[in-house]
Amino acid sequence: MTQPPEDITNFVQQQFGRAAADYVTSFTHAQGTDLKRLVELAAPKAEECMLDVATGGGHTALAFAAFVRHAVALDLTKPMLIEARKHITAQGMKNVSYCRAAAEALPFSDNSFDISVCRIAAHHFADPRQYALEAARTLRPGGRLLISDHIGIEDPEFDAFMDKFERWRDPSHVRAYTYKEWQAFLSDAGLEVVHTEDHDRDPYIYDDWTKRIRMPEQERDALEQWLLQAEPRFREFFSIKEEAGRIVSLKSTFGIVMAQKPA
Amino acid sequence: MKNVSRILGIAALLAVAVLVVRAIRQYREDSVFDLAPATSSAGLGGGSKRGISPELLEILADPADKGPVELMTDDSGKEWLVNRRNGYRYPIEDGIPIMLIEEGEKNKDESLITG
Repeated sequence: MTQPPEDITNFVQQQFGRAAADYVTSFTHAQGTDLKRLVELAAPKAEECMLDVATGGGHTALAFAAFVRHAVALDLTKPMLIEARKHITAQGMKNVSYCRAAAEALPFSDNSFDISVCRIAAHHFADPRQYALEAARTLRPGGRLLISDHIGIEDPEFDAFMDKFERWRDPSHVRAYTYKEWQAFLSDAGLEVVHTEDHDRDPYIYDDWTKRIRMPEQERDALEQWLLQAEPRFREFFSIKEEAGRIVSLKSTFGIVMAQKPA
Repeated sequence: MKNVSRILGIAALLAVAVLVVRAIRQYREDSVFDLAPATSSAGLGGGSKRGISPELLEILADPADKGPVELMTDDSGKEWLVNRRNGYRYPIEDGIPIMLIEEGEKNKDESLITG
């Protein structure tokens, strides 16, 4: 198990550059029911403009594109953007633009977007406070910011357990922030948190979850052994399922945070 | 026999002429593509046609100073998003603007600074 590298931005690029196409087809990323919920909460209007930060396979931009005038799919890695564009144009969507940039230094004028969304990505950010500032700056007054991500657990022991398996699998996983932490980042950026909710995601199917990220076989086995030895309270909390001495699935905690820029 | 070789000769000349005309036409078409600015596909939102949509161009800014950028084509036909205040140039690759501060800085051209 490794600590997140100092140059997390570079590391994220390598990681997702390699596995780009897998993220288009990943069931978790493409079919998440939170996508529907995000659109519902954001209540997009036909004349509005939305930004999808760290678009990955392009699923969020695609989900919003049908409801808004213009969507911008932004990612740190070019291979991801190429895959996202392939996927989105194959669905016939023509109102989506693509842009390579960092979430912490958004290449847009102030007040550019009505809706800004970041889905299953903020836990990779090198500097979530700076991302919050940039999201707030590029949002127009009255605009909505929605973050759907891993959510940290208030109990430090459970939080540390989750942090360990997440980062073991994916060293570019920096941290899952708690609702409290998001509240602080966003209010410091001048946004008002208007809603938070837990999102019960389908469990990770161990085989798919570890293979998608191209985890080396040795590490997959080591993580599996560690999970098999977990105390019952952790097994219960994270719904760790075991069959014939192998890990079948486990769960992590997810949620949605919605904030608004004061009008 | 003389007539046959004369006809063959004329036919060969005609064939060569057709090939030359075709080559010139193809060259001209290619040149048109070389010169065409990416904005010619404006409105297609960077879909199958590789160009920056006017909607994106309108809101794009330098990630360093957050001020506006200008679309420019250099002598080799490569497109850039240029910040006239500091000379930073951001490349457009496969129709995707690469708006990373380090890219803009790396491709800085001070001769583009105005005012």
